[in-house]
This record gives sequence, C-alpha cells and structure tokens, in this order.
Amino acid sequence: MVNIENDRQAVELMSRSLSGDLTSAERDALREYEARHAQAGVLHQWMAAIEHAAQLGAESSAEDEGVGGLSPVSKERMQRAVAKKLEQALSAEIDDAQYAQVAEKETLYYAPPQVAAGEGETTESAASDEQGTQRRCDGRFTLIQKIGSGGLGSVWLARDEVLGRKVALKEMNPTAAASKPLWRRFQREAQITGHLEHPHVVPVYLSGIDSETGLPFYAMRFLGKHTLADAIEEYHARREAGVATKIDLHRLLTAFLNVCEAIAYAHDRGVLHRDLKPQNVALDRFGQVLVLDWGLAKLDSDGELYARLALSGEALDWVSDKRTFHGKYLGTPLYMAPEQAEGDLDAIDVRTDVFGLGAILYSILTGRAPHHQTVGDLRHRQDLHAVLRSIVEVRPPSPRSINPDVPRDLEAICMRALAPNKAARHRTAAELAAEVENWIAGRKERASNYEALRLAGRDLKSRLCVQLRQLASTAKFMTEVPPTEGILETYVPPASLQPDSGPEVAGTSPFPASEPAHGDNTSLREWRGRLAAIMQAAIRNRPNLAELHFLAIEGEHVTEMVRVRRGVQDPHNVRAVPEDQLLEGVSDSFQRAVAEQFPGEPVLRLAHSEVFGPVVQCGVSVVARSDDRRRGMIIAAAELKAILSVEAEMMNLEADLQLFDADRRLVYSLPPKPPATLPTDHTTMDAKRWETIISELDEAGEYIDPAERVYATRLVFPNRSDSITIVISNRR
Amino acid sequence: MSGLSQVPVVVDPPPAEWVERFGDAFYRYAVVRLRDPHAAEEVVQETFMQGIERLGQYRGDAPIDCWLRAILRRKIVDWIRVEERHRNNEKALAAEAGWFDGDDQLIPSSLTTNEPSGQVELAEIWRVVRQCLERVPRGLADVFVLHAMEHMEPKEICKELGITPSNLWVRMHRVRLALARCVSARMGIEAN
Repeated sequence: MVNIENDRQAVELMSRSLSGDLTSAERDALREYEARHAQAGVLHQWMAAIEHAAQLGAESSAEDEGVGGLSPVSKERMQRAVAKKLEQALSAEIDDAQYAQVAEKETLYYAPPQVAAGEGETTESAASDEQGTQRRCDGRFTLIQKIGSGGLGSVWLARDEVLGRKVALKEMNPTAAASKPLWRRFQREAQITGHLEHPHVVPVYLSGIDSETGLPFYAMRFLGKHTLADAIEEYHARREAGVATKIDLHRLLTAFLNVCEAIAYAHDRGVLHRDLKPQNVALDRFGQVLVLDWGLAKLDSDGELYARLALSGEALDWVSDKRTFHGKYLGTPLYMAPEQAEGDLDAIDVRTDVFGLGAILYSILTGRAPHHQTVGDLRHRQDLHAVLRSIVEVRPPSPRSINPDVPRDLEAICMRALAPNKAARHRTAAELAAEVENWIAGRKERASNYEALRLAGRDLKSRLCVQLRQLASTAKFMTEVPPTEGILETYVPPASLQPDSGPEVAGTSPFPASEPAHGDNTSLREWRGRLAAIMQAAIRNRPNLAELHFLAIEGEHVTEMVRVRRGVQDPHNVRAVPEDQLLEGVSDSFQRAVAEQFPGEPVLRLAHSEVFGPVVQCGVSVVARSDDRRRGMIIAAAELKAILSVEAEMMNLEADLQLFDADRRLVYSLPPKPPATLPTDHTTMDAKRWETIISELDEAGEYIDPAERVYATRLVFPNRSDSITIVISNRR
Repeated sequence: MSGLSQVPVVVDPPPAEWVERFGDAFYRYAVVRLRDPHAAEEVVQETFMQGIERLGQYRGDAPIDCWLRAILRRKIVDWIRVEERHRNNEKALAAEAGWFDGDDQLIPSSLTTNEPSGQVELAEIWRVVRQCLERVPRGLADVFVLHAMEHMEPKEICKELGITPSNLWVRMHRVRLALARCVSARMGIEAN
C-alpha cells in the first residue's frame, strides 16, 4: 500500500512515472491522489505533454520552427577550416602509409584507436586530454593543453615546474609506443633534434621516459602556435586586400633565409630534414624562427653527427633506418620532391631538402603549396598513389601564374630549387639562400658600385655570423664533454670559498685546485689532462680559434682549471698553459654575465687580448649534474684578425674594411693601420660621423652614404651583449 | 589517422562540400540542444573535422550525413559534459524554492490551473519548451536535453556527467517541474 502524504511526494512520483519507473501500486496511489487534488493532476498533464513535445521536437526539423542556420561569416570560416583539415589529413596520410608498411615488415601491428563514430569513443579521459588535465609528466612538467598531435604522439603546452617556464612537450602515444620501430623513431627524433644546436633549430631541454606512463617524451622551447604557414596566409590575405607592403614580403624572406641557415647547418652535420614545409617553421612575434619536427630526419653515416653518436653507441640502432623505410614515401605530398613521391630513398639527399626549401619559397610567393593544384584535383578520388604519381609527373605552375606580382628573378630562383631533376637544383641550401639574399640586395638588377659595397657588407656580416656561431658551438661542445663534468665532480674549492665559510680572501691561495687537501688530486689532474687534449684538438682544427679556458665558479670567485692556447709566433704550436700560470680571482663582468646566463646559451663579447689583439670571446656556463648548479664555464676566444682576413680573402673584397667596437674603437682594418704604440692607444672614428652612423643603424639597420661611397652595418651579438660595426668604403 | 586513401566507398558529397550541404541543418540541431549559438557552431565545426579524421572508418552503410550526425550527437554530449564539470550546480539544485509551502503542498500561484488543451498542438508546446529551457538553470536543462531529446539512458547520463543516480533524479524531477510551471504559465498568457 502506497500512501502519498503531500504534493511534493506526488510530484516526485509523477516525474518517475514519466521515466516509466513506477510500480503498479505507486501508479494507483498517484492516480487516486490526482483525483483528490486537481492542481496535482493538472501539473502531471503538463509534465507529460512537455515530455511528449520534447520527444517529437527532437525528431523534427528545427528549420520549420524558425531556427536560423549558420551565418555567412561562420560558414566561410568553417569552410576554410575544413579545407585546411583536408590538406593536413592528406599530409598525415603519407605518414600513416609508412607506418602500415613498417608494421607489415616488422610483423608488429600498429593501428590507431578504431572507434565507430557515435559510439561514445570520446571518453572523459580523452576529452580531458584535449583541455588541460593538469596531468604531470615525469613529475616535472604539468600538461596544460594539447597543441597538436600526429601518428607518433601529441605535443602539449606544458609548464616546467622546476624552472617555472612554458615548454612544448612531445609525448609518444601508447599505441605507437607498442611498436619497436616507432619507439626507435621517436627516440631518434629526440636525439637528432637535441644534437642540432643552432639558433634556428628548436632546442630540446630534456628527454626521457615518464616513470608513471612508461612513455617516452621530450621537452623543447615553446615559441607559440604561430607558424610560417600562418604568416604566409596573413601576408596573402593582406596582399589580396591591397594593403601588403614590400616589408611584409621582406620579413617572410628573412625568415626563409633563417630556415635555409638551419638546414645548411643540419646538412653540414649530416642530417637531412625530409619534411620541410611552412607548418614546420615556428615564428614568434619578435621574428625568432625555429625549424621543428625532425621526425623524418635522416642521418648520413659519413656525417659528423652520426660519427659523434656512434662513438657513444647511440647510432648503432639507426643503421636499420634505410632497411626499415626502404620503398616508403616520406614527407608531405603538398611539398614533396619527385624523388620522395617515387619512394626512392636512395635518391634522397641534400637537394631533396633544397626542393623542400624551394617549396617553402613557393608558398611565400604564391600563398599555395607547389602541389596544391595536383593534390586538390585528385583529393576527391581519395587515391594517394594517384597523388604521388602526379607529383612526379606534373611540375608546379609558375608562381607568376598565381601571383603576377612575383618578381621574375625570384620566380626563377624558386623554380630552379623546384626543378624535377635534382642536378638542376641549387647544390646546397646555402647556395639557394645566397641567391635569395642577392636578390634581396638587388645585385642582379642594379649592379652599381654602391650595391657591390652593400652586398659585400651583408656578405661579410653573414660570414661573421657563421664564424661566431661556430665559436659558440665549440664552446657549447666543450661544456658537454665528459672531462668537464669530471673536473667539476672531483674539484673541491678551498674551504674559504665554500658557501658556509668566512669572507673571501682572494689571492691567498694561488692555485687551490692542485692542492691534494682539496680532493682526489690524481683524478682531477687526469680529467684536466683529458680536457686539455680535447681543447688542443679543437684549436688545431679551427684556424681562427686562439684560446679555450675552463673556469670553475664559486660565488664570484673563478678559478682557471684548464687553458689551452695557440702560439703567437708559431700558430701550429697549441699547448696547455702550465698549472702554475693559471689564474684565479674575482670574476669580471663578462664572466658574471656568462655565469648568470641560462645553461647552454652563449654570451659573446669583443675583447682585447694582450697576446692576440682583438678577439671575440664566447662563454657558456656549465651546470654540475650532481647539484644542478652552475659551477663552471667554458670560454672560447677567436682572433678577429684571423677570422676577417680569411673571409675577406674568400670574398675577394676589394674595398676598404674597418670594424669598430661598441665604443667606436677600431678593432680591425684592411688595409692594416700601423700598430698602436700602447694597448690603450686606439684609433677611433670621428665622433660626429660615428653618431650619424649609429643613429642610422639604430633606425634602419644599415648606413648608406652614396656620395662618399660608404656602407655600414652592425652585427649585434646574442642577447645584445656586444656588437661590431662593419664599415666598408670604396675610396681606394 | 585520416584514412583518406583507405575509404572503401564513395563519399557523397565529398568533405569539401559538407559545410555547404549540412552546415545549416547541423547547426540548428546543435543550437536547439545547446541553446548557445557559439557552442553550436563549435561543435558543428568539430564534427566536420572529426569526420575528415575518421573517414577511413566510414563503411557506407548509412548516408554520410547520418554518419556525421552520429558524430555531432557525440560532440554535443561531450560539450555538455565539459560544461557540467566547470559549472557550479548549487543554483540548479536550489531551484525548488517557492514551489512548495511548509506542508510540502504546491503553492497555488506557482502553477496555472489551465490544463494543456487537447487543441493545442504539440509543436506549439515544443516552441514554448525551447524558450523555457533557456530560462531554467543550465544544469537542469542539460539533463532534460540528454534524457528527453537525446534519449540517453539514466545510467549513461550519470556516467557522462559524473553525477550519482540520485542527483540525476533530483535534477530530472526539478526540471520537469520548472518546465511545467514555465510552459503552462506562458501558454496561459498567450491563450489569454
């Protein structure tokens, strides 16, 4: 017997009755109650009518009920998004085809999660994957938001809780991780990316395996989600609206040159990218350019990087790369070179990347990928092989047929890079970059004397840049060699320098590191000997390298542990400075700047060495693994004279060349000036002229005086730590 | 994995025409359920994106728009679930105030005394229900949409929204009461 005492209970039963959840006794009791209480009865009728109306309404077309459709703007936006997605999907297809074939060969099965649409595959965890779960990776990185995903894994925007900064974290997905070849490929991607140290290659901060999920990951610098593809799209939207300027194109070309530099550097180290496209180039609003996604990169077994990794045993696994990928299509169809589309891996070399660079240039000039038309025509057929066949057979239309404003010379450069026959392309990325640079400088159109000066200035500046990067790369390399770490582990600073000791008394201990009381002296000496040997080899191999030091830091106190230098009279005589001549004392401002810099980031300055004259010094701090503190630094010094005389000769420079430091002191001159009688007796530029040049350089980046035939430009060191002003004149 | 090259059947219309062909209908379907034009646009776009990604799984058993609509329904449920997780539902659960007196009897003024007329079309009631759904707390309206319009089982709703069965029943009960009050009052006014 069910007894309904009040309306509240009755209403609850009504609700349950609408869900078909009443017993017959409850139904009877409710009926009886409604007969006695009219208002409850009315309420029940409304509830039932609403339920019924909603069920019918759900099946009906909302169009008939006056609900409008998408606005034209929304529809257009959605159509653009769909078009973009289709392009991406077709690109990913290549990767997927490759996975399937790898799986077949290795008898390992790889398949992404197969869930029929509408069957509730998006579980709560999957949804939370998309938007900030605050999940931790490796206990150190908090995953904030997924910013991309591919066949191998997902890229997250994450926060490094140790250093309190945002990073991009790539994590392998569990399904792919079940496949050995894919696991190896992910590891290889992390290793290659991590070993390419270049201002325009994304730096890897850390790689490892998450102890909780067992999945490999690596963390890299996060530049934002803006890519060259976005910048190209924005530029062409502006161009079509008639509001683009030449500077807009110039910016894109400058970014392109940076990409060329990064690729030329990778080629030098024996690495091919094989998937160059605007989407793989990250840009930030300050013009920083980073080449991303080295997932398809190939190591040349004759290259430096292969040799370096082979020494550590890491490259052995990679020998199988060629076997594993043989006959597979690697790359993105829209930007793919014909030899890639043919699946001919043996034919892929440096000039395949030149094609990729040409494809990026093509996109910059036209707003479209080179194979846009080909892929677009065949997309509806859903036939990947037809697309690839067409890439081999059909040449991209000329850029001017898409955008008549493209200059003919630039079009010619672009189409040469995109030549179907590899032999007809630029031989190297650097050669392509040089042609574009020359075009920017306008050499081919206006071969005036002044233009030659300007070209020479720019050429010299870029050559100097390369030299400085090499210097930084040498310094960084020295921070990573085992003896550097060995010295830090075995060196015990004197008690007076320990953090809990009394005030520092500089100079009381002329060479504490050699005192047996401070640690395992034999071991320390051994490490020093090893580091000195490595440094000697480095200096012998780089003719402009004058000196390499390794200093231990304790607070503001520095102790020189190893110094290797080139002889002044006999440059082939490269020796370690005897221990009793090594220096120690309070650090100078440069050393403090190095010590404060983020590990691995170089600090450069122009300095005057009593032995070598003007030198460029590059310092990189060394972090001890034992306590994660910056406890040392490598300082590499290159002779400015040695750098410039070689470069000027290679350029066949016929003009006068003068280089000034930031205090307008002359640091190099061609033809040489008579040597100064005193180290302080510097030749300086006329103050008024200096001011004019500097203000022009600040504003425009270049100084031009056609009447006097003087051209000046400035090379600013990273982090604006110092600068060199280059002045070229043609008065001889 | 897009599976573009693995689609075993002809996709008609091809993905490039989906927005033009289905965009408006899908948007109407979504906006009625989500009561939010921006959210509706977003789920429709996500539907097309996922449709392209999963095209390799389309077997051609049903027309492509039905297949896409299944994705859209899933997207709507996902949207409601995410909203639910970020919402403070205290207001929804406190919505009963003013309906019953101290003796748990319905307060007469809270409800029209008019019965739903047999002459009133269900379509007309449905039009008013949609207006009223915008007035009741979202936490209540959403469970009504999932239950009455998407025909989801109570167990499924609890799982999706991460709520207990008793919480669901309280919400269902309250949204029905709230809608009955709102719809009957509005229709009473309109009739007069």
